[in-house]
Amino acid sequence: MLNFVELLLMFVSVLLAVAFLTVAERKTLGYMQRRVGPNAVGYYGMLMAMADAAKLLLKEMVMPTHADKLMLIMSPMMSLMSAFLCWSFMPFAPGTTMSDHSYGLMFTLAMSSVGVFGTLLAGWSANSKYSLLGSMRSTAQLISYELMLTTMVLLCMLLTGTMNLSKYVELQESMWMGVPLFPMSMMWFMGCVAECARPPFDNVEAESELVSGHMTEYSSSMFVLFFLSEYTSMLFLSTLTSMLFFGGGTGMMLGMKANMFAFTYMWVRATLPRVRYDKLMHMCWVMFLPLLFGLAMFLPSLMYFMDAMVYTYPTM
Amino acid sequence: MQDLPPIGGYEPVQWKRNLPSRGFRPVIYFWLISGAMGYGFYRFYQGVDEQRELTREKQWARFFLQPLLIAEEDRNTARRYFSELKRQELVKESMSDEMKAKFEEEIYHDKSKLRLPRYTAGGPASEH
Repeated sequence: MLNFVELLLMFVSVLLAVAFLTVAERKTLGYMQRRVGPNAVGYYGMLMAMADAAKLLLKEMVMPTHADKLMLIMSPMMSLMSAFLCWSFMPFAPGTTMSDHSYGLMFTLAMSSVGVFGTLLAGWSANSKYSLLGSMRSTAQLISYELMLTTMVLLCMLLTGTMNLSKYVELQESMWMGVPLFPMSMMWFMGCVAECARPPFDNVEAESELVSGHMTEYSSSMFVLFFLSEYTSMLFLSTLTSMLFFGGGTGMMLGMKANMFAFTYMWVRATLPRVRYDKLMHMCWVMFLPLLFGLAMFLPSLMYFMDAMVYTYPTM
Repeated sequence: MQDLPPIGGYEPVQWKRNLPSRGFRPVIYFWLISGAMGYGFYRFYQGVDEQRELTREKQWARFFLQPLLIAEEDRNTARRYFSELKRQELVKESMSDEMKAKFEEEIYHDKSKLRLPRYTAGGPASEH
């Protein structure tokens, strides 16, 4: 029983964090564009999230006539479930995690891959050209960037020799991985922005070309699921960034780091224009991936060398 | 009559923008980042070394503790075995004769194996 209460507590906290992240984003964008943003509901517009949720949930759900209805309903759920399940191995403090599994990082990777199916099936099942084109774009983008992120996570695993996130964080007590892997951490951040399909990589829902990408035919509560999954994965990836490269942390500290990275997503959104789709793909396949494969050859050699040094000069 | 270029040609067109160069030269960034990475790897490997030492210590502690842990487990098994015998005695006292006959029947007929009671009915070990 208490287990379920724990689970509920965690997921409700994640949901609340996501809800307030949307308000935070609108406020941040507002101030960056010299306007106030939402300020009417609650103090400083804090309750805007609740108002938005109420509005979205009370709206009519329009079901396209020719759509594959089961798939149409299932796919946002798939997205949301995968985004939520990613959180289950997150160590919020030493020993404070849903499951302290030795293959937690592997499970997280697997779960974030499942999310792509939600996008893919959403576009296909809606039976609309905009949705289909949008989902083809976004699937290609997500798969490409996931390849990149996975390679980076594998390299981190290789260096630390563990797939357990708690252990991983513990190993960073001597040094944050972001310092020895500084260029890779920058690539990781760009990859994360692309993986979340956030601006400047939001070709998925480029309004001028595709109405709203794979989400075109979605309305009210089904749209909410997609929206939630997008923001959940954004928050998840910023937490994972702080955990993989910036030493994780305990409770508040981790939250602050994650917030900082979540803020950078908005900052980037307010600053940069959208890049062209072929350039996006080019950056992944022609620039980042060869570089990463180079690193994948370089890092083991470096480890071999360092191990030799450690055993030759044990006081190092 | 076509307009011709002026005698001596046009003035050179300035196509290159004269932007002020900001920050350090690229090579300085390269060495800064390399230095940071080198220091990072150095510190990280110190941590790795420490982790290895801790693992080694844990393993050796385990080796020395093993006889004690086995003895403890054996003691626990023996305690459970005798308490089970005692329990059976107590149960038998309050039984009818045919029930008692059934109760005393062997469960396992294979005498080649020794079966120690690892699990007994009742609450946790502290309550026995």
